[in-house]
Amino acid sequence: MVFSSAVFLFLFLPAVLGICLILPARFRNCFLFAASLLFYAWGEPRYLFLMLFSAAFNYGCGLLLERWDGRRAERRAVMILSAVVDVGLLCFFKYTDFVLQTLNALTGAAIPLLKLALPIGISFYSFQALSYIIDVYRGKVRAQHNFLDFGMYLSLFPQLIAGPIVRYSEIEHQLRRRSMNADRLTEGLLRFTVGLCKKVLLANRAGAMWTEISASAQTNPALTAWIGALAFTFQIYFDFSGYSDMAIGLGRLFGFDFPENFRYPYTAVSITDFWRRWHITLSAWFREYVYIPLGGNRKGLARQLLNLLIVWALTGLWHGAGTNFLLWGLYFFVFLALEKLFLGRLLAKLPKFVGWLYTLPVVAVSWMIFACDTPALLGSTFRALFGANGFSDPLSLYLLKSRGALLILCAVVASGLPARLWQSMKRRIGANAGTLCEIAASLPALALTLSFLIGDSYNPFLYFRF
Amino acid sequence: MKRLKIIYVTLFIGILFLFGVWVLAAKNRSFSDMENRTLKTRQEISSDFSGGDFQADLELCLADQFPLRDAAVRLQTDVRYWMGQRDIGGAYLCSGGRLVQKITDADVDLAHLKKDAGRYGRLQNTGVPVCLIPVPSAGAALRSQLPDGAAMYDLDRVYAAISEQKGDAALLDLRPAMRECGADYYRTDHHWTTRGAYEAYALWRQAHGQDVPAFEDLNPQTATEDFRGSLYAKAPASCVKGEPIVLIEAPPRLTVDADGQTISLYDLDALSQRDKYRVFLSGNHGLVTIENPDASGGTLLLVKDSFANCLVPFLARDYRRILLVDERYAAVSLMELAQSEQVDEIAVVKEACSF
Repeated sequence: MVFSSAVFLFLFLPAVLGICLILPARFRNCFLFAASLLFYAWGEPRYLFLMLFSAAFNYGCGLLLERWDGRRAERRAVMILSAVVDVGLLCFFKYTDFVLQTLNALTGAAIPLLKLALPIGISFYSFQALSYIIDVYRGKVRAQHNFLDFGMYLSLFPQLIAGPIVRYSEIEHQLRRRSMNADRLTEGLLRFTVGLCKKVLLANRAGAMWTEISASAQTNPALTAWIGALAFTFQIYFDFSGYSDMAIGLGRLFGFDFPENFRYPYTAVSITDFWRRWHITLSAWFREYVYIPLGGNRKGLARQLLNLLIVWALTGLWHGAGTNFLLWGLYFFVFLALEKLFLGRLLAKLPKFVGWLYTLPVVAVSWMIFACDTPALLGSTFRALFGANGFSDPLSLYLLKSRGALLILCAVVASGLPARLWQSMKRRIGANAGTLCEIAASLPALALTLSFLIGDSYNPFLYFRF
Repeated sequence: MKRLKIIYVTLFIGILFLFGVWVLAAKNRSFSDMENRTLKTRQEISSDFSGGDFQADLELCLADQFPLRDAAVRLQTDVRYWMGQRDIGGAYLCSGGRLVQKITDADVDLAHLKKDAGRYGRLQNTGVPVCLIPVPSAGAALRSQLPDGAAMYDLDRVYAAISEQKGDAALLDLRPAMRECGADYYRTDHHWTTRGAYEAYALWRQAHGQDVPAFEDLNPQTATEDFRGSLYAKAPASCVKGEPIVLIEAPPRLTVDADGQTISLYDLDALSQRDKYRVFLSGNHGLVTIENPDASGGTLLLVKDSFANCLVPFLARDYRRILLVDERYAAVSLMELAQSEQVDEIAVVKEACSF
């Protein structure tokens, strides 16, 4: 089930929220766990057992780590075992076919592919499970004794399918102590509406544009190809940050505070800055559990670059099992390494505007590597971007005229300017009047969003590979 | 303030839920007149949960049965139009509230088209004269009315391909006639109007060396003022209004047989339904025989698609017998048919892009 679907909006969300409000607080976790399992099973009923296994297994490992307090060798073994199982399951479902394909291509063998459907959200909840086990091992958090609480944490439907990746330590106390009240419910619904608008009104429209343009990648002139790149750049941002907004809003409805995941990444003035603003919880996870354990920047420049290389190869592959995702990760490694070596110092001396002018095209090009999942498409897209089919044709101008307003709207929203203006306005008119305005604005926005959701069948889900 | 927040939350959740419950409780619509398609009803939801059919069906049903569905479809079309988008649901929104079907070069299967043109051309080998009449699509004829730079297939390329393959058959070139005015095509439908078909009829008469009656002398009558055709179903924008369908007078003693059933030239019941273009011959059939004992001409074999349906009333004035063959619905050998039915003339009337 996805948030921007009729079943979720008209049945699941109202029913689950309504029941949760009526239930006494002590039953809520149990109910949310059950609701999350239904949410999970909706898309792929066969993998329900996988989620239950992951919950039970990591729960058990957490308890063992606690019981064997002081026995270093055993604790280490448990931690490694659970990491191997969590990462193993993730790799098995996500990368087996990729590895087999690569093997077949390299050796000419014909090993049949497994063609497994990827369990939804496995990349997200596996990372959450790992964060739990590692933090218990490190003694940073205490093991969870209540299976229902732990199961709910792992499978919690608001962040199950597209993040944010909520580390156990960030949410430990909220599992037991949180409240659902009018303030939080209002905040949550407003935030959810913002996310839904981003997804349906901006991401889906930009996505339809990209789909149309990429279909003629072989013949596109440069202008069309760059309009396409811009469209996808907006699609992925509004889609992903829209999902995060919806997740954070939903979390707030049920009393949780999830970490922020995006901070206007397209205003970044360097690639380093971009990755502090884009999918923040993923970068934080890799820093905490891969980069720093590898030694981070404490073991000399050469070792730091190697660590970066490892992290970015993994980050690339985390986004999907494909050569283009690996390339995409390595592409960012190159820019991040350059910035560490000298570019960062240089950019710091220049006006911010220059940094932005360098960052945005680099990011837009990265999305083309991300979006083109076959070598043929990748090849024709890049040839088109760099003018192999001429500069422009009547169709590029038609696209600009017909979709220009949408692109401008996307750019304005992505700049964060409207949000900043509104915040300063809100300070002037007071919080209550501000909320009143937000509620008044959210209702027509919701009506418009529902119209697009109902009236337009184009509503893709981008994270089936994650 | 707290009370207001409670009201907001209750309303938000309550209204969403009401929509959901409404779909599961109220009477379901099985057809959308505006969109001209069947809708998923509650009764059709599969019970297969583990395979995922139940989930997919429920999602479709909720969207299709949404109580304000028609208003929602119209609103999102309008918003896209206001934002400057000029192609919606496969139709171009041109100035003056005209919708034109978007057909690009990639949509035209030139190889298939050539094969068919060659096949029709070879019918000439039976000794019966053959005339090919590719009807320009609205967008190809009214290019100047399309939004600037909008993609549309190259009509001249299609004509050249047909001309190259036609052999000894004649080709009636409608391009100059159809490029002249917009009145030849509906504003809400992909077909040509009765007036457009008249232009073709006039050329056909001229090619036969016959005089051409004035359109007004054929007693054209407005059958409906509120036709909203196939393109309106795809892009129901507020700026697109209903339009008339005009019918010329039918010959008095005409009999029409469609696949063994007696029908009439004009199915007036269709005018009260969604797809009012079905007023012509009640839509498409495999094989239709039209007999007019008062006519002076012989037997015409007309290979056709739906464009020919509104040309038929004109031709029915002139031919004693017309055999209509729609190859999409009838698997017949045109060669055998031409011989067994002692046909005097053969014409092929189809939209140029799928000739």
